[in-house]
Amino acid sequence: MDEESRLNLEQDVPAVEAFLAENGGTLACDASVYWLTLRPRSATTERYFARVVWTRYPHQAPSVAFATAVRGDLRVTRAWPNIPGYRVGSFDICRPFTAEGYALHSEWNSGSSAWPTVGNPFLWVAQELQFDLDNSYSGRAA
Amino acid sequence: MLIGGFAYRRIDILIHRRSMEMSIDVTSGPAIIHVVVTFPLTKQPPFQEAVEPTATVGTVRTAAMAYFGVSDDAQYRYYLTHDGAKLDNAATVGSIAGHAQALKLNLVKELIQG
Repeated sequence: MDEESRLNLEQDVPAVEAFLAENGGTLACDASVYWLTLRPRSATTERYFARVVWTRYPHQAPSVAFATAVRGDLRVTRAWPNIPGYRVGSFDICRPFTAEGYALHSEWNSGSSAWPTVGNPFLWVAQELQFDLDNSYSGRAA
Repeated sequence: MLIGGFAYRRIDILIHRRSMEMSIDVTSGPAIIHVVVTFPLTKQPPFQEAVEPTATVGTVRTAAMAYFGVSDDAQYRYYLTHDGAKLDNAATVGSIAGHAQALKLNLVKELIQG
């Protein structure tokens, strides 16, 4: 990750930490790799560990995947929540806030689904994940 | 004495009425609620507005979206959330705030699934 991205992330990370804490979650970091621990509102004993990898921040969408733990295994279906657009079998999220989603849908690169670079996109990604867990979650994948 | 006694009774009644009015105020919630709406995809500071408890979530959503310069379209809808829950636009601010004088909401951009 370049120096500009690192400095931009430094500025935006505190708001992400505060948001996650408000929702019973935490943030851990290894260089450009961030680990979000998230809790669905409807299942407060459950924990999901999202790995968010930035390459150029805030200019490119991050790679997002779920792991068994912070720094855990990324190829385990049980680590994933059942949410529309979260493709457990492919271990990716087909939504216009992930690198995987934009790679699959080139049409998302224009119009209102284009990757946003204004404000705090990291906070937005965290809010999207939390919103989905709070409003579209139907249990842990098998 | 009779006049004095009557005066005391009037004061008692006034105090009783005042305390009843105060208790009614407490149970019905504040007259004005300070609403703060945050949205991450902007350089703007949070949207803030003092509204009556009868104001709807939809009214606040519309004002906040105008402030942040965003609008619904074929691909996206914007929702207000509170404690993670998506709010019904028809709900009143007072029903969500309860006895609180301030209410913090998030504006969330949600993809309409095709």
